[in-house]
Amino acid sequence: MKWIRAILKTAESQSTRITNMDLHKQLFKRQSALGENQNTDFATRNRLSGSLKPLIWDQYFEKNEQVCLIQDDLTVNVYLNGSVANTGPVYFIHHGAGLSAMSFGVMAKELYKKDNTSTVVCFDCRGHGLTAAADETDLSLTRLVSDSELLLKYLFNDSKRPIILVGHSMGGAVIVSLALSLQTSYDIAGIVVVDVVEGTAINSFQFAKSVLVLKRKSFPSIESAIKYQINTGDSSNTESACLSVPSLLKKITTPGKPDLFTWRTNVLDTSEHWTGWYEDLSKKFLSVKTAKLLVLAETDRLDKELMIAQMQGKFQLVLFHGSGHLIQENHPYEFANKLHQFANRNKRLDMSTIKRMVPLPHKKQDS
Amino acid sequence: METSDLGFELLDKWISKLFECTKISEAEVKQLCEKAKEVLMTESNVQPVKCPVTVCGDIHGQFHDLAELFKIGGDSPDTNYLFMGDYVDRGYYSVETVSLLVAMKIRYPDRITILRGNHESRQITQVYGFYDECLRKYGNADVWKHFTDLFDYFPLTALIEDQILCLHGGLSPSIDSLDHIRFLDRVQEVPHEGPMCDLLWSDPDDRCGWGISPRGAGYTFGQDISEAFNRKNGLSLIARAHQLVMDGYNWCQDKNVVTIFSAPNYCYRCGNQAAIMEIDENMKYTFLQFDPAPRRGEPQVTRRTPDYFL
Repeated sequence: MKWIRAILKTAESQSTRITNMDLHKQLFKRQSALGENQNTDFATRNRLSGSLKPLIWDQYFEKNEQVCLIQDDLTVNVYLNGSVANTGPVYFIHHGAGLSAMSFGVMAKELYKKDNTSTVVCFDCRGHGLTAAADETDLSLTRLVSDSELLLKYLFNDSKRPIILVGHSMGGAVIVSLALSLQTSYDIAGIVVVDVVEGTAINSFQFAKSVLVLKRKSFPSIESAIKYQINTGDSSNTESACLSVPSLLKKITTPGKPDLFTWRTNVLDTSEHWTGWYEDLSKKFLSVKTAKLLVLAETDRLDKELMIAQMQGKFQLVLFHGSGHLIQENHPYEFANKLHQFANRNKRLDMSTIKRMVPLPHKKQDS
Repeated sequence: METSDLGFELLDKWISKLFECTKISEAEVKQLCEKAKEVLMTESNVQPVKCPVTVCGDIHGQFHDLAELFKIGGDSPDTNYLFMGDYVDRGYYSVETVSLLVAMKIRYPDRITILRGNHESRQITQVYGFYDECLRKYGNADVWKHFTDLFDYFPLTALIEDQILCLHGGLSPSIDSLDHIRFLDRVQEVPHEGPMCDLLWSDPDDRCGWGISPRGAGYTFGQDISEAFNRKNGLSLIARAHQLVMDGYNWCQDKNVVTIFSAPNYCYRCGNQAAIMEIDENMKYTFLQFDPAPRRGEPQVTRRTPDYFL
């Protein structure tokens, strides 16, 4: 998959990995890669300069807030676009394990640009980013759902606005349960689950541990961590990596020694909760009574239950072939586009907008 | 019927080769598609079909199950067949499956009808496997291009004895009558919306009226819609495919609509039966169900497990 990443990153450079066979595919990939990136500011500047300088949240969000949800127990770090007197949909976004709100930063800016009546909410969940909790280790599904519910109710108390819940990986499991809990009291207009499927996720736990054990533990600088994230192939979008990686690090200062940066969240420590996140996810996803979008990096990731449901037309599936697990980071513009289309499409059906074919003047004979 | 530059002898050779699940060469595919284009472009958007005929749903590259289908339904051309689309993607033998059906169409144009499904599209085949399979089996995308260019000519619907409308997906809120379908300009990539898209993407639903399709394309339609459409157009039934049904066929909407799905154990993991619908000379329906064919030397289903998912 490395060559695909190379193509998406720099459409003009020909990777030597590309064989003739791949060229045709490359043409299509290239078209979509060029089509998606109309926002040229940071992406282009970074690419042109080859810079891996950390990017700051305020280029992507209007507002950063610390919301104290449980006195002395949980203060959530929240980022918002369109926070004032808006009427459109609310996108409430939960990141995955070991990531942060910034994983959706580039996407969130683009999404808000597409619909400035919307509100886009991203936040660091318990044990992640700049959120502070008395108990940093309780990343059980129940706890994460309850945290999210408290936050959503705090931000949108008795709101009548349509809410679209979006969750990546672990966050996908959280928002599905959140939707089930909120669907009677809020207008849940859609749920969007990004790159997680129960059957496949549970099968991958054994590999996940070895991947995590091999992950580099510390870095001399933020830039070197960004570089690492790109070199491992996890990130193929420099802009996203420069925004998201800094928020995943914490600084270790030891007197007499140079500073070190290490991961804020040790994902390996959360392994006791993994099964709990994903058990019954497919069943729960299908049982939410709203429009459903599943975004995956490979078609082969569907388990039996979701394969049947997809083939019965129960939800929408969007594939970002070969994008890697960080779909929203690696294809933020295309992702925002899909999300915006999904929200638009699933507004109430207005029959007056459907063009009907006019009655025909005379009958055409079959050949 | 005479086939101008493709002799019966050559076609029969290709057909028997394809029946062995052996692909034909790139140059032969090109010839095949050129000829098929000539045949298909003369067909109507609402292609008339006579009974007796056997109506089949999705195949999705499950070649050995298609061979089983012919065993159960009877050999072509002794049995007339009507396929309602989705020949490619997902299964491992899309190339052989679609080559065989197209070759049979040219050889016996009046005895086999092949409609277009939502997977007979450039965009969808790039995502769900046909494109990759062509690259893998021919080393370049030319075969994929020949076939997807040909798909534009496939008829959208067929009409059995003026009574049964057959199509891949379902009805469209833009379309009230069969004449509306006849007037569509079908020779194009399947659009993202509009009547042609709806015919290939829509699904029947338990709720009345039109609804937004959860699939992201097409609509859902209730019993009131199919009843009104059938009454207005003098139809007794809409036969369609597109949705997996565990028994292979499924009546709905007070027998105004039937769904037929002909890929058993879909995608090698769904555990469903397949079915076909025989319509005899008195327009009586019989459903024949079947299970997956025994697999001979088929690639082991090994799904790549991704690194992690957290």
